[in-house]
Amino acid sequence: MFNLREYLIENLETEVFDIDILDKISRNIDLNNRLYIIYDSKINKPVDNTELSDIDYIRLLKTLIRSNDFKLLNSACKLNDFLYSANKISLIEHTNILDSIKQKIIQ
Amino acid sequence: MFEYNLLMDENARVSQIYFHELSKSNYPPKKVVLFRKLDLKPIIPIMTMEEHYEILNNILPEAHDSLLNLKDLDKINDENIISVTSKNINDNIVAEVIKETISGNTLIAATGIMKENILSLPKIDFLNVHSGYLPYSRGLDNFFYALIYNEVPGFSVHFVDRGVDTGDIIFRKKINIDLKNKGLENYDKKKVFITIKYFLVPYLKAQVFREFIECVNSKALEITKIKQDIKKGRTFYKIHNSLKEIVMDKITM
Repeated sequence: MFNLREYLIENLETEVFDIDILDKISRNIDLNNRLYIIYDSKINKPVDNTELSDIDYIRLLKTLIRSNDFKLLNSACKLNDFLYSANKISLIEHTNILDSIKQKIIQ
Repeated sequence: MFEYNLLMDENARVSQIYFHELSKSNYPPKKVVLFRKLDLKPIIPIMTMEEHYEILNNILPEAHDSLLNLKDLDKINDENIISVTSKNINDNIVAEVIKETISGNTLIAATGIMKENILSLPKIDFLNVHSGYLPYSRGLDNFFYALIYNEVPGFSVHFVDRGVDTGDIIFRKKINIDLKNKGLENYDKKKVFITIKYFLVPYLKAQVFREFIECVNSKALEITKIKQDIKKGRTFYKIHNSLKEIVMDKITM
């Protein structure tokens, strides 16, 4: 099993990103939007329906943005949209996050 | 001699371009099954054909010249074209028509994910031209991703299986397209994006398929199925709308 919440906390400050794991996590954003705490070992299906907390969603968003990888930044945009549509972030936060993603890509 | 059929969504631009390009080649399709979606809502185009052609002429004049006079598929009168109308390509009525009409290699265009009842039809091998270099690049918008990652865009002809772009590979080609210094900065970036996605990429896919047939028929290539290592590569997803302009800046300037 894969605990997404634990993974996010353990990798809060990391500068070395496991793209394979982040790809598997971001697949769930690209296909489903909503994310859960516990997944199967392939990070393919949630094993229970406890959704990530708002703070964990933000942790994930920050991790994706720090990765500096275009594919993951693209997923971060979709996650940003989802968080706004689910009233988890404000319009100003949504705009600021989108700007920071764009800045990362331009650099 | 390599023979093939086409199975395509009648309303998709890629279908129109495949038919246009392959029909005038030395190796036209044997039969064409056109899937016509029932109750399709009309799409209001945001660009004129003239705008597409102008942008395409800047990028690749040969594509512009070749794609002039594209005809709507529903206006083509050809006894080898069979239409089937249904809500979904995976409906059994579509499977029945395919089964009764075609056999052998069948190139698909814009069919979406085909389910078991279609994929398991006897005596048919479905082929796809994917706009990524398999097994390294699966999914969507791969042409753009290749350019963003400073790679040469690749195309792959592969058999269709139950996965997304995971079937056995039979032909691959990299095409070095330079989008810089083509004057594309003078156009609306989203319009350039749309033209690349819906005109240039399908045109290149059709050329790759033509080259594949020519290689097989000239015996320069024996059809060998290369099994994909599905652990290799990445699956890419649709580029977010708000990133399209930045993407265009990065790959055209």
